[in-house]
Amino acid sequence: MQDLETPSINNYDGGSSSQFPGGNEIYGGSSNFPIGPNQYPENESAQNPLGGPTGGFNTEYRNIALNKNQFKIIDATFQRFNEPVGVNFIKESFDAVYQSQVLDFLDVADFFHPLQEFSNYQKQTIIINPATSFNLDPGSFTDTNGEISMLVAKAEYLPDASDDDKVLFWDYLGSQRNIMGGFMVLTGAIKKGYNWKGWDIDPFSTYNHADIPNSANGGFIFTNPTSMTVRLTIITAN
Amino acid sequence: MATRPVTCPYDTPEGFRFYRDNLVLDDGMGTPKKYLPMNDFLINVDSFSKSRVSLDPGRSFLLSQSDIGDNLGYVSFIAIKAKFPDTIVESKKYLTWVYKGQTMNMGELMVLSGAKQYSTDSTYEGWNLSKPNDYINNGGMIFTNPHADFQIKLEILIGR
Repeated sequence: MQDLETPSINNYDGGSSSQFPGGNEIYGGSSNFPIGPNQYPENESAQNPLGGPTGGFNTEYRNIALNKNQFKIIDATFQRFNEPVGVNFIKESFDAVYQSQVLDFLDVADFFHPLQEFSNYQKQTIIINPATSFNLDPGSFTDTNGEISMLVAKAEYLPDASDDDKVLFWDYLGSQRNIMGGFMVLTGAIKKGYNWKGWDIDPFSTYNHADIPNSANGGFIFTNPTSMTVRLTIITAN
Repeated sequence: MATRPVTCPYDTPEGFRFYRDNLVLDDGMGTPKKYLPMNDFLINVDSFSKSRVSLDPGRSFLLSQSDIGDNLGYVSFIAIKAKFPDTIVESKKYLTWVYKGQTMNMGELMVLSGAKQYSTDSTYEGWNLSKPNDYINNGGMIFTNPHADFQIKLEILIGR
């Protein structure tokens, strides 16, 4: 309705504004469809929308998928925009993921490190302070002469650590410095006695560990080169 | 009346494996004990590659991914799974790999990570998979099957 107190204001509420002074009548309006689908109901062909008046256009059909799974998901809502892009561990595999899509994976479900009658295992959790080192405990892997066949290490960094701060050095046999980010798995042959096809973590040269440890004899040394503390969990087994 | 047959549990050795987002110690009896949670594992990578290699007896393979690595050839994630024939005993399930001149061993799995670091002696520390050449022979990893009687299959996932 038009505002009767202020006739110059039009109120487009669906009513006919031409009945009131000051209203503006809109000419040319029509209640008909611009393209009438059913202008001739008595004509059977006219009931087909394609049979009535129409604008000119061409329709092309292109086969974009053979089944439902082949349709590419379009993420139009950005709800997964902040999901990670990288390598995740999902169930029993390392997955290269792009937001919600798994692009490829390395399945480790069949990985199995059996414990034999001579086997031992050890789990260590260490807080490594900035710019300090930690010597991996050699444990009691005496049946394999200090040699292990599995080492799994996981480093947990502080939340505000940048990617450059997520690093540890590990020295093996005192001869080479390697790096580790968040995770590492080293394995070797499983055998009683020693065959040196695994990893020697014993830095001592005597059985009773009476001498001074020397990394050249064996052992792992983990070093935190950053300015932030790191929690390191290591599982070893022979 | 028939009696229910007596069934013996099959002999499953105790061991470590990955199971439902965890590294567990599975003894084959009930729910395995969790030793290391893996559900928070995430390594940011910009690109990746997946490849499969079969190593014939006595043969070697150079792992070099110059196109995946950064401008110097460094990558931040390497995961390699070795598949040995089912009949091979545990003591023979190994191969060797050489990196920067040091020979190391590998069983069924190896995972390495870490972005390259600039060290104090003006060099970089990290996993360099650039192709070695006559002048700078410090890139790439050489995997060797030391056995004379069976083939080893490798699955390799690399990220930078």
